[in-house]
This record gives sequence, C-alpha cells and structure tokens, in this order.
Amino acid sequence: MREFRILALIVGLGLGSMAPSLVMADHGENNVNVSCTSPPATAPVDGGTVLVDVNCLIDAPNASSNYRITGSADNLMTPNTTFLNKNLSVLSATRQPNVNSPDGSVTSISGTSNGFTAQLTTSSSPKTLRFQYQVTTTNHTPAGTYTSLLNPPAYRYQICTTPSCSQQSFSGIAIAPLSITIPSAPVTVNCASSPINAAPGGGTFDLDIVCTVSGGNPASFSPSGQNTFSPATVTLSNGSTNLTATLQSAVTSPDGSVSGLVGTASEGFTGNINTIPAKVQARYTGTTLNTTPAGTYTSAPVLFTWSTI
Amino acid sequence: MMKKRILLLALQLLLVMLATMPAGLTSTSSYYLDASRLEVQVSPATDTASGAVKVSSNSNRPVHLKVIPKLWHLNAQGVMVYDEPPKTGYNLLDNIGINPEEFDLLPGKSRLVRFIIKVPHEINTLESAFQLYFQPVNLLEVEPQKTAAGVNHMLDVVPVFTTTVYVYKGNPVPAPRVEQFQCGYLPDKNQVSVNLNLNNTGSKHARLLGNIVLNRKAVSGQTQPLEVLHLQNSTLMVVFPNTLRSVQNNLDLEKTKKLDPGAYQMELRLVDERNVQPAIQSTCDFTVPAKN
Repeated sequence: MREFRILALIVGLGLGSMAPSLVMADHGENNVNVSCTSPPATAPVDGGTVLVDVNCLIDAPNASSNYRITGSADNLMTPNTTFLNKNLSVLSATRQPNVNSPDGSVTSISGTSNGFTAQLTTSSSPKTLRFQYQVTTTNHTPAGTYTSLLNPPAYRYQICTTPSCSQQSFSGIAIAPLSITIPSAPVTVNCASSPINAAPGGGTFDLDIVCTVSGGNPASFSPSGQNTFSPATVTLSNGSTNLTATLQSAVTSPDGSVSGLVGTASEGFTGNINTIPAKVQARYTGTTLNTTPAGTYTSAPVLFTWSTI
Repeated sequence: MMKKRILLLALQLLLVMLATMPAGLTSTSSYYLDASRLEVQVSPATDTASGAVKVSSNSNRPVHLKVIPKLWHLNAQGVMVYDEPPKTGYNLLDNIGINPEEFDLLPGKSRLVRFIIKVPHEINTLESAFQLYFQPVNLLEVEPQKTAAGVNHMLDVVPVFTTTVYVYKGNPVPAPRVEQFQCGYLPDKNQVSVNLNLNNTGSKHARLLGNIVLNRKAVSGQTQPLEVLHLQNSTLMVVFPNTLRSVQNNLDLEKTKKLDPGAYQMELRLVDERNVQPAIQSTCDFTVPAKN
C-alpha cells in the first residue's frame, strides 16, 4: 500500500487583486488540485451572528487512504479577520478556530485553523475540509450583499507525498471570497388614533396617536432615523364650529419597543428600535367649553413622516 | 332549549357591544419604498446623476401619490429642517426631473419613480442632499362612524415615507473634528455630563457613532476603565461640512454606583458608520471633590 504524507500549510492572506482561483499543482502521476469556495450566506433581517463556510476540496485522485495531513492557517495581513464590503458599508468576518470535514473524508482533525493535523481515511476524491468565518450584523446594518472581493481570505498550502516531504510536494494559494446577504424587506407603518369623547361641560382632551413600525430591513432601522408628526396644530371641525388641538412635544413608546427617544414630535425625533413591531406615540391636546356644541369633530389628516438620513 | 337562549343572548350582547363601540380609525402605510436612503454619483461625461425608487402598494385600495423633492439641513442639535430653495448659487430643485411626479398606485402594484439631477460642469466636487417626499392623498382604511353622543374628536393619521438622496460629484471627503469636549459629574443623579462640539472642514458629511470610556485616574497616572458610555443613545451624529454639531448628554452610570472623590478621565472615540476614516479620539478630565 502506498502511503502519502501530506503536509498542508494553509496560510490566509489578504490578496486584494487576486481573482478567485483554482490552484493546481501537477507533479507527475500524483496530481493534487486544491480549491476553496464559500457558499453565499444570508443574515437575519434584524441582525445576528452568521457562520460563513469556506469549503476547501483536496482532489488527489491517485492517492490512497491513510493520508496524513498537517497544516496551519494564518492570515498574514489581517490576522483572523477579513472584511466584506458593500458600497460604503463594511462588515468584518472573524476566522473561527474550528476545522472539520463535513463529508467525513478527513478524520482525526486536531488543532485549530491556525494549526491542525488530520488524516484521510478514504481514497475517494475530493476530500473536504471546512473552515468558518463569523459575521455579526446588527439591525443597523444596511441591507444588501457584502463580499470580500477586495480582501478575500486566501489559503496557501503545501502538500507532501512522503513523510519527510523530501520527494514530492504541492503548494499554491486558493482564494475563497466570502459573501453574505442581508435581505431587504419593506417597512410598513400603521397609525391609529381612536376617537374620544370629551368630558361633559368642557375641559381638556387628549388625542393620542400610536404609530407602529413593522417589517422592514436593517437599513430602515438605521440610527439615522428622523421622524416627525405634523402639523403642530390641527383644526377639528364639526362643520360649523372649530376646535384646535396642539401637538405636544413628547414622544413616547407605549410598550418600550423604542428606547432613547431624542427630539420632539414636531421638530423630529430619533430612537433605537429594540423590537419589531416598534411603537411610538404622540399626543394632541385641545380644550372644549361648556358651550361647545355636541357633535363629531374631525380634522384634515395628521402626518407621520418616516425618514432616514 | 336553554342553551339556545343563552347563545342567542350572548349574540345579542355582542351585537350591542359592537354597535356602541367607538369606531377605531386606523391608517396603514398602504405603500412602501424599496430605499430609504440613496447615493448617486454624477457622471463627469454628462454632468448628470440619476436614480430610481420603487414604490409598491400593500393595500387593496388605490393610493394617489405626489413625489415632492425637498431640500433640508440639520440644525446644531441634529434635527432635520426643511429649507427654502436658495436664491443664489446652485439650486438643486431647479435641476431635477422626476418621472412621474404624481400617480395612482393601484392595489398590489409597483411603480418605479425615476429622477435625474443636473450639476453644472464648473462644479468639480459636490455633496448635495435632498429628500423625495412621497405624499399620499388619502390612506384611510376605515371610515369613521359617527355614532357616539356628546363632543367627539377624531384624527386621521397618515404615514408618509421618504427617500433621502445624496448626490455626489467628484470625490468629496469628510473631515470631522472635535471643537470642544467638556465633561463633569452630577452626583445627585449619578450621571456624567458631556458637552461636545463637532465641526466638519471636509466636503462630505460625517456619520459618527460615539463611545466614551470612563476611567479612574490613579496617582501614578495610570487609568482604570470603569464603564463604557454611549453618546446620543447610540444614535448617529451626522455632521455636514462647515456646520457645527452640538451634543449635550447627561449619561447614567449603570455599572458604577457612585464616583468616589478623585480624578477621572473620559476617552472619547467617534467612529465613522461607514469606516471611511479613522476614529476620532479626544480626552476630557474632571475631578470629583471630596465633599461628594
């Protein structure tokens, strides 16, 4: 039985200008191809942690079983981290220490992606090794597809066919750009203001407006939100008599789904959305007299403007 | 027989309750946009920039929408203020085309609204911001029922969506800087006060998120981190070129029960949301006197 010892030295590099590649080394009958790919990942709409796989295939058709692999991984330019870009937004991806073989073609893996040993127990080809990068997004991360094309993880390897690595070795670099998509979803806003009955004999009345924001993508929940209620004063009319109600400056979140509310209802306010659906509330206050005729008073529509700067 | 009577009575009671309930007045968004913020780049060949916003209906009723371009700026407190068109110099509103400007959005359908902006050739570097304001004419989902006696009040509430558009020509860059950073301690509330003035001498707006590390200073000069505080409740501080942005925060100390007498230092770190520039750092020292 022919025994090969393979020394795989896998070094992650930031090679900005290199295209994704399949690296092949041809040394006579013992061809070995190594290629790495990363299937596109999808992050949760409202943020979270995602593991992005990097699958490296070692295609050595002439090799028999009992391969032994020793290797290491190291990012030389940006240790442990690579970056995914979309326009002006950047996500960082942290290389995880684990190395595994999803199809079981590589066994006895010990160590981390910074340094591991392993053994190939089958002669089937290719053999798969898997690394992972962790990407964390928040509900402030803009939607879209982020890729590490500008600075992809790249793996330099060396494979030896003899225990002493003296006769035959294969080396090269395999690049696996990462890709992660944060899905886009529309924001819907639902506003409600229940009709109220004024107190008999006159007095103040409060008209509360509750606007509920639901759905949406992370870009919509950027911390740069600027929202307003308008107008500052509304005229309520029953057709013959007019009443006025004034917008109060305070904006609240009745269920605490929005925190850190800063600003005023009429001039603009921002806040952090903690949970979806998110509720904000504003109030119009007016006065009736004991001479105010009974009836139903309505106004021109009040506007709730949803903006992101 | 008895069961039927009870069921009938319950049904009648339900009908009476429904009839006497004040009608809820609810307005939903009825439409939505595919972008709340856009950046468009002016082509040097044509001196124009263009973009599009997809408007979609989620209603079973048609919605009539007007697309209104609005100029705006942020005041010193960071609040958006709509502007009148400038009387001199480049007026973006005179150089924008929107198609369509007004339209009916049918139930379940989408419509693409395109815009094009012309920038004078002699302007080499530009950042200009405006807002596309999609104003619905009527979005009421439920008509009010005027059943209650006495003086009743009703408000219609209409959600309005906007898209903020940044127009760029050339390669404008932000250059924010800390003009003033003052700090102190409010022992009664166990808060630290922060007074921060930011300026931007660049040609593009800066988008900053601010953290402060509160340190205790030892006699030896070494510092011991106590707590990380978030400026503006972690909301964005946008600083436009040649404008002052003031931030006054009283920040609760959540991890530190009360500051002991001694010397303290705040390390300010302002990070650009887009990672387009290094973080800005500044420090501020304050002392908690012994009587506290």
